[in-house]
Amino acid sequence: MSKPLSALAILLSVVVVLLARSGEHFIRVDAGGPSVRMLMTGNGGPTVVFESGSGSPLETWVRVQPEVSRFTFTLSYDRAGNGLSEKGPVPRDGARIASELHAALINSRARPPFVLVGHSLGGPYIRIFAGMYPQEVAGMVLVDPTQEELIEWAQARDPKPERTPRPYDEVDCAPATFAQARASQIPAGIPVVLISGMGPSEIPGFLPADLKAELQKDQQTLYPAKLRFHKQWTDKIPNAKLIITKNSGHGVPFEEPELIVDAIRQVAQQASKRPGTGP
Amino acid sequence: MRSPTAALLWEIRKEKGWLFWLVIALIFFGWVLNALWGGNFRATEDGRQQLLTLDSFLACGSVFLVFGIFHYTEFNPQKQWTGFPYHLFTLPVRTWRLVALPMIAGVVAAELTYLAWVKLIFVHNELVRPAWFAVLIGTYLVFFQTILWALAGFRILRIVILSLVVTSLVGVAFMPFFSKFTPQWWLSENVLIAALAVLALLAYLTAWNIVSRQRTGGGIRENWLKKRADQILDLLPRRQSAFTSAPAAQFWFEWRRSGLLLPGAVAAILLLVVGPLSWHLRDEAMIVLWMLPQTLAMPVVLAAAMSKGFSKPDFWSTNLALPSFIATRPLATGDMVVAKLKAAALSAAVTWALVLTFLCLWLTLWAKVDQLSMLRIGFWMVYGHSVYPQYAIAALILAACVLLTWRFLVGGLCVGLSGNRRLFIGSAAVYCLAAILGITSFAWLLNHDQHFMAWVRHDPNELLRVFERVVAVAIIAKFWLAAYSWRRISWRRTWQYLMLWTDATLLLVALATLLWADGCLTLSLMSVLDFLPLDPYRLECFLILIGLVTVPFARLGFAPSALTRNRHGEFIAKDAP
Repeated sequence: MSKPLSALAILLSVVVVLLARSGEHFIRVDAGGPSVRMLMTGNGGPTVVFESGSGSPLETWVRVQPEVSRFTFTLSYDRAGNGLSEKGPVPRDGARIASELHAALINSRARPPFVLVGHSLGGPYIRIFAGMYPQEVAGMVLVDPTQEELIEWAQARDPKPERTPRPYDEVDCAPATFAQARASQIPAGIPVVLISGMGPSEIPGFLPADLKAELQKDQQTLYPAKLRFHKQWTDKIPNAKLIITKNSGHGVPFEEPELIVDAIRQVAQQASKRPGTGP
Repeated sequence: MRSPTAALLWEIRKEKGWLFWLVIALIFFGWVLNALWGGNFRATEDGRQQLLTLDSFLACGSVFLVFGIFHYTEFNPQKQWTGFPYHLFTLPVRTWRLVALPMIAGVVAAELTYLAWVKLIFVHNELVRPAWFAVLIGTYLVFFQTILWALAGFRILRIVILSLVVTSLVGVAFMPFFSKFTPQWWLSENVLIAALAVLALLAYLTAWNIVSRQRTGGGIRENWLKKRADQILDLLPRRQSAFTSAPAAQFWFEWRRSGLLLPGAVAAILLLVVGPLSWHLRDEAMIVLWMLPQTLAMPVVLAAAMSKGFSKPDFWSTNLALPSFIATRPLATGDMVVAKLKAAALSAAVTWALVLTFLCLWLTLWAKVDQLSMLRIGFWMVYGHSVYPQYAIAALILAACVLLTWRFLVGGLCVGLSGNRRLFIGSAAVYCLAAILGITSFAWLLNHDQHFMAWVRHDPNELLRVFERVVAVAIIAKFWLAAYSWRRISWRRTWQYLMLWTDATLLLVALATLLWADGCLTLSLMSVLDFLPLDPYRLECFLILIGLVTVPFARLGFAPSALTRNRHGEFIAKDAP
């Protein structure tokens, strides 16, 4: 045996064993019918629950969840019909999704209080959840959420031809979801942060010309409207804070994960200080 | 023997008698299996599918064996090729008959095998177009024999043509099924059978013509194409200066003898296939996403295909013994191995310089890169709105491709240089077995995709964990084997290669980390291939482990000692043909 290479073999064998043993573990949880994929990491409280945007799997939070799990217990999951979860019953509106999330939380080892984090269409979903289970929610972070007023405004400006909604499609069920979100009450006194993505200021040069033009148009018309509706909504909530970022567009979880992590940390700290919501 | 027919048939039976028995044994095994346990299998849908897969596998195996029996070739030491059995040329039989007999015998044997499977084993299955497949098998055998005999002087070209013909004929096999979607008259089964019959007749006439020429002393090697090619090659500039050292001369020899082949093949494919195809389909939106991965994979696949030839002492010789022309050179065995490694490195570098040149021209001049831009946006978002990491990824992918190409060229050196024919054929058999197992597994997956996907989807960690453990064990075995195989090699040379290995591995690890992009790769793959769920948290470790296992280490340590044994003629006496 070559002695130097034997030493190298020992060292690299250890590295390989450590590499092969690392990683996270998904679990399957019954969400009141469908079995959903869930990833739980970290320790402590409150429990941070991540809700992805339309059609997105829990990997949306791959840059956020590991950082948050350093200071508290976290949980992300694939909604029924998304990612690697089973399909759920129809219609896929917000109330059904919120009740499935609640069932999944009960069947997992996650315990309230929950800090809910929702991206895009996940925003209305966590608002509905907070309205349905107010005692269990201690805080909310909405990451560039889809605001029902914005959709109505866009539809009025540029009417899309109506088509028969497919009950298994959560985007087709969005009108019902928006109505439920509008009717939901945010629990009194809980900290709420809304991050509005107004950027990026620079459009990448490698994009095709038509996409560049579309993005520029969005920045000029859609984004100001989005900010207006986000502001109107946060103004209505007593403890709500609006964070405007020009470094990210709609993909904040990928473009500025640290911004979301900071917001969650603030909300979690405030939630812990509230009476009856300690870890 | 009373007749030449009987003599020829007797000879075929004498040469390949055991294969005949193997075919009969396979058919008998299939019949017994279906007769005794067929009912149990057919009780459930899963069992029925399993039995059908097994029966199909055995049936294909027996038909392939018939092709093996009737490939009917012989090595001609005078012409250094394997073609129509030249010892038959002295028989008092006309050439048309000499050619027709093995063809007819082969077709009859193939049809009988097919008939046996249809009538004895597949009796409970509803066969689709049995007559069409019977005609296909017969004509395929005629084409197979014609190519083997007609291209006897072109060893590599013959393999390439055979591969192309096999691929095309697989497509032909499905043609009658398209008539359901496009009712064209020429897609009807009868028209296609007639066309195949005409083609088989033409194939026979071609084989007759060429074997006649071979019988009268002519041959493919004497044709005008070869002469023109030689004349062009003679015009190319030749080396005038003396070599600075014996290793330099050996490197030049290796480069000219085997290193040039890969860049030549890649250049030909780029010029004749990829280039025209990319131009013809330049307006298709998705063509870049479709052709770019295939263009990048092509040199690596070709290197893998050529690796067996490259690993031998002489690429073009069927003899694995080190030729005395090389063995008697004033050169240490280690230097000979280094010359091969360097020739492979230059071959890989030149190949990828050609590919890079083509890609630069294609992507900047006539490709529609919109879809590629959509792929880039994810990386742009993750990497702080900077395009530089993308350039780094592109550069690292190119370097990784060069490495992979080199790795495939030199990976089998310890086997090829050993001169041990059994080991050489055995290692090739392992690859063939792996391919067969891969195809069988794929067929099984097609039948059981629901169960498999349910298992994978239940916890994608589990699938990656299995792969991860396999790779981890392979890496640990590799390092310990390297400590053993490099024990007699000088520390200077070991250190040099260790540095090279470390640099190459770090490059691959950097590529793995950059590509993983905080899980961005997972999302991209999941959006493209929703049937392939990957766990982003484990994927990074898995990619790093792949980086550690890719660059060869242990096997190269065995190459000098293997070549030493070959140089001293350890295997020549018992294994040389």
